[in-house]
Amino acid sequence: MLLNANKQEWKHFLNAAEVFWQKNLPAPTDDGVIYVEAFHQDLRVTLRNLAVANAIRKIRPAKLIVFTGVEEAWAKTLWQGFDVATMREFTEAYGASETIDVWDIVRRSDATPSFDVSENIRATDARLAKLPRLRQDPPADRVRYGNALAAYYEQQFRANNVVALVTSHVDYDQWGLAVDVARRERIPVIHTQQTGCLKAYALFPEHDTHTETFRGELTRQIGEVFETQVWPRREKLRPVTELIAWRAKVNLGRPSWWRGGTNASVDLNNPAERALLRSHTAARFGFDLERPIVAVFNHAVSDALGTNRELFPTLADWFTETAAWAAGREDTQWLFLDHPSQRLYDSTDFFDQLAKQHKKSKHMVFRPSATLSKNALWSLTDLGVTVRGSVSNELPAYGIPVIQAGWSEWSSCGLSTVVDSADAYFKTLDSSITAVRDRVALVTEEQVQRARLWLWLYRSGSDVVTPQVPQWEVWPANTLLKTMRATFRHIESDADPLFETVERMWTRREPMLTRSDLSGVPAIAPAEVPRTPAEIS
Amino acid sequence: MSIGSWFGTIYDEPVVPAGLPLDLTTGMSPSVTIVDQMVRGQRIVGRINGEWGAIAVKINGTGAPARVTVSIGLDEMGTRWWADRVRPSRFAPELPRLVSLRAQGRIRGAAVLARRQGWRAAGGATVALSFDLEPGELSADGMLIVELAETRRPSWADERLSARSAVGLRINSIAVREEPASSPAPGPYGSTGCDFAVVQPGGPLAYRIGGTGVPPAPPLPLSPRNRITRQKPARAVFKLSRAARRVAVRAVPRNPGELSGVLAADLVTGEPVPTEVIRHAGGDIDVRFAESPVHPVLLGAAEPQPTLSWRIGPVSVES
Repeated sequence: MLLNANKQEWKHFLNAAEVFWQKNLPAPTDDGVIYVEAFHQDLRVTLRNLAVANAIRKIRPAKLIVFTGVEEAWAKTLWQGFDVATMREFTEAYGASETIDVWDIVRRSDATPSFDVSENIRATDARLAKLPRLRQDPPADRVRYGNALAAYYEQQFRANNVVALVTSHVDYDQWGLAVDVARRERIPVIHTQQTGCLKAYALFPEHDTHTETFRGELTRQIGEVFETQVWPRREKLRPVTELIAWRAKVNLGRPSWWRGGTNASVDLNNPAERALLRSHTAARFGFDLERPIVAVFNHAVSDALGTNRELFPTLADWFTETAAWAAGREDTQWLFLDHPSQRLYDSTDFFDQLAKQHKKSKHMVFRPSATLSKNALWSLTDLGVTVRGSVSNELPAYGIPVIQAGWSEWSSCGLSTVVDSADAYFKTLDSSITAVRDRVALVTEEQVQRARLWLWLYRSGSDVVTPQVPQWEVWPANTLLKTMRATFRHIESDADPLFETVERMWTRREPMLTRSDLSGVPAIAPAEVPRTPAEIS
Repeated sequence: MSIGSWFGTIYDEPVVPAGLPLDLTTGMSPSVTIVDQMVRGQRIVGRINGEWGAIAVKINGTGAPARVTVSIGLDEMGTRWWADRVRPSRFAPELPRLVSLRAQGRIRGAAVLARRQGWRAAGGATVALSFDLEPGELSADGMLIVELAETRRPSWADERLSARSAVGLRINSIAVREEPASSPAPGPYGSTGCDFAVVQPGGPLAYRIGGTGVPPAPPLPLSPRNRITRQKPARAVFKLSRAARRVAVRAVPRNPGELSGVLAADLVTGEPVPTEVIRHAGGDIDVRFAESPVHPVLLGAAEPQPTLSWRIGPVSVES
């Protein structure tokens, strides 16, 4: 486990947590149960799940039951010494009445569920074997595990009066199947996020149309919140979004998970500076300054396949077909960039193989994205292409157009061009390249504003600051545990934002946790936009 | 609206154009606009942390021709940065660095840097590279961009020069003087510290090369990679053994022998450059070009002579 902590510190933490939650939670009055998963090795992930679960238990008293355990393939590909006993200590300190080693049961089970789980099994297999494409026949054990997991979850969800499922992930067998079962059983699913302080999305059965995947349903609902609650506040929020736009540019705040270090900070402030740097960076790649440059951002190829709407069967198919199409478009220069963490997701050298296939095409350059500074990237990119990458938020926030060949959390907020069929994708690529060549602006002022507002919503509006969940960067483990101990021992819990915000989301059935109440019409009239930071203060 | 119009925010630090003459010796100056793949320095302009590094300075020029001098340095910290990123073999000796200098979109010169190895440590290597900006290249409210990057190198030199040469190099200072270009900027002459030298574009037609023996370079120290080697006692042992290795490498007498001959290659096209080589009685060699090179040219010993340091200087063609 990622718990390289002092034993004494761990004990202090458990002790403090236990006392805190004993006194802060009402005893259950009925047979209600909240299920929480603890399959991830990182303490910070489970900490978020347990905090949210307990905040729900505060308003809806219920028993806390935790699913945990570890399977060999997960341990081999991802975890470093996952320890069920340590996890049990942790969940019990948070008041879990039962911590079930799910994998221990599943390993010995041959049960099959009442619905088809083959897609989930294939996606899990691709992730664990680090394959860019889905295998038709995953290993027999993988299939058996998938079926047994789903069957077990079905039995558990049907046997109890389940109030909610709190989960850190919604993909792959151990998490995704629990989510699938919860949705089928019409149980609210809270999906905590692994970034910032406390971020969580929720899918309530009354808002579930069952026409999309879990993430697809969220995309739609997040779009509605954005349209009805955030966009009308744009004038009031303008000074804050401006500050966040600056912070994102210099790599402060979150998310900057896909790139760290000094090379992730951008210095370019205007077209003249961009043009100057472009004259140098283009020369490095042998590009012609005057012709359009399109950057295609590869994903972590085996990551959560098929969990939201995508135009191609897999991310690898999208990348391969885009490259094949680009090979025929010599009027354009193409920068194919690989994901910085690809080696954790691909064992087949997918990117390098593709680069080799197109070695002769001088108008196509293949590079790991981390070898290119963001300055260089922004100076070169006339058009970005992705399926669901964060660049589809980041680039439009600074006026660089992006085409998305699929959905992401923010894809219904109107920041980027989201296409809905493979045919339309290539047509949009074609027309966008023509527009870039003819110097027609592809990004409107409204899109820039929307993208910056999403930056605000993602990094601030939907990020709840509570001492119960220290910021993700509060690490290593000893530091986190010490901070948590101080919280439990020394901070009064009255009106803690954790409880207030979770209560708001829960009672109003909102799709996301928000730092402040976004419902209702903005009370304050649009403010005059300050021109300098001094005017703001 | 062109791309870049939305890059700015009201929180961006204001850029203050520098006046001329300019002596930029810090990366903290408000005239430094873009720092790409570099880390700003306090007492130097900056240090490169990628395959290339570029710095742009806002300058209030007049459009007159100007001479720019860039001081490039390689020091102990630079080799540490390089070793941390490149992870060379534990037994590979430190190799000379070769980088090209590009300004305002054109390659203006190249430099080879090799550190002098001592008993306890290696000294730093510094090269001052000058080039001329043509009229109009630096106008009012203009920007000067200077980039150091790896360059195309001939196959015969590939194994003898450092991989990813730009990583860790520092730009010590950038000086700009507006002055009519009376003669081409003099290339860096004198000892190069290795069996290579670079002839700058537009330079003289003939050069004299002499050689002196230098101690061989030991492998570079590598930062400890795992939990055991990171511990203090282990690090002390590494440090001692490194010192012993340096002394052992330094103590073995080596006779570099005579200059083995000269190969020349264009650093932009990678093509060999025809030269006439005249060997003098004292062991020195004269290298003559048929015409003044338009790109930087790498000169190197025909056979690897890692313990020979070249000394290069211009000679008039008549001599």
